Amino acid sequence: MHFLEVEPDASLLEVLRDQLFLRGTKKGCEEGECGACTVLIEGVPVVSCLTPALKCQGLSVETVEGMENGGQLHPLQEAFLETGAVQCGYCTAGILMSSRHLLEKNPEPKSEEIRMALSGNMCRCTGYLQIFEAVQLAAKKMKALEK
Amino acid sequence: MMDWEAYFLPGSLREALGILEEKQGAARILAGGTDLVLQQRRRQHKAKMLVDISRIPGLSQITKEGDTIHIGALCTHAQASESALLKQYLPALSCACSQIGSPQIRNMGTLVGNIVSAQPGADAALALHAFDTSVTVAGFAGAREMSLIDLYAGLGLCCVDSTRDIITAISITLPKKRMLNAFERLSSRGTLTLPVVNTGVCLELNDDDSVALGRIAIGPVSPKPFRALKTESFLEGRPLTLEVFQQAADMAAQETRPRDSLLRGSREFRQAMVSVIVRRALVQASYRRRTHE
Repeated sequence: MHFLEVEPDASLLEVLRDQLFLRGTKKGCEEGECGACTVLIEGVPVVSCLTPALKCQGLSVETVEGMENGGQLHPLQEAFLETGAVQCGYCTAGILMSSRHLLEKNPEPKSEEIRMALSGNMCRCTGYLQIFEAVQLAAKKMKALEK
Repeated sequence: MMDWEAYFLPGSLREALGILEEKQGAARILAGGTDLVLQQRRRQHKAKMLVDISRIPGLSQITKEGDTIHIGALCTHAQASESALLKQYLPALSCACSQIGSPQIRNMGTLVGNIVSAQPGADAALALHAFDTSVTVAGFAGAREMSLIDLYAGLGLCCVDSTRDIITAISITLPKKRMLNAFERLSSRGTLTLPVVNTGVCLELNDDDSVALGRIAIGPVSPKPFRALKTESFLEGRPLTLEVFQQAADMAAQETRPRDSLLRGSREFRQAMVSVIVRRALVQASYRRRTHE
């Protein structure tokens, strides 16, 4: 839990990066159209560039930094590395958060469901195919872990 | 930075209205914020203080009371698109909401916000124009009902002053007759893009399946959401046939006067596409006669 003083007009993105130094979440378009700044608020993906920081008082905010656990990468992070779904990496944090929400809600998503869930996250490097493969691979990994 | 001096998180409607009253125009309502924050960043709005209503209980439900469906002010597009109640009775609306923005934007933006933006092509608001829709407006002195069409003062101009009043709910009165409805949208890509043209259609049916009453809302083809009134008259008493749908679609297109737009396409293209999407929507609505009534 963090107790912070923030400016009334600070965005959640600004507070995460500039006050909490959680720079995994990236500043892209700042207009809610690229998804690079995606975080989870109360478990739901939002664009933090358009979220006033003060809107989040008392709410849970999850960023990409929270995905690894004691040095162990999340299955999604492993899968992204294995399939080559990371090139410049700028979109990756946002895509990981959207993907994580998808797999928590829908552990065995179909291809079209993955595409829809990630439709708010832009990638200019990969052409998306490795990203979709990574999500499917992560789904398998997570299912195996449950067993 | 967006130059707000204060940010309030009231816990009740009374508290929120009290802040608006006290600040005398300097404070403005915010729910999801996807439009307002962007407008502030682009210097299109100059709100000095924000009153965030997202913590007020009782404003995010979708309920049915008798013949009326109520949608609370905090209901997001994501909620609306996934609502079993809306899918059953108002599939046009749930479909419209499912196509707004992106998953992230749909998790944040509200239907009421879509109305207040007063954009003629705003998908959720456009779909609502195909129904008998009103809103509840709460002010410091009390609440009042307003018909949806009366909220539009012009392009981007809502008659409800968000520095004084709060729209708390949208109400859609379902007809006694059987009702079919559908929504169609044409856009340059599948996500995060404004519509080239969109339409919401609603058909109330007589016992012999002819049209008792039709509503065809089309956007963005005028400064306010547009209703194809001549086409609606044409449909009355007509059977649900492809021939009738094509005639209606062509007539609806001729009623519209879209502008040439660098963003959305030429006037001729958009008018032609109105015919296409209206026909598709009428066909889609008619399929529901067999599936969900």
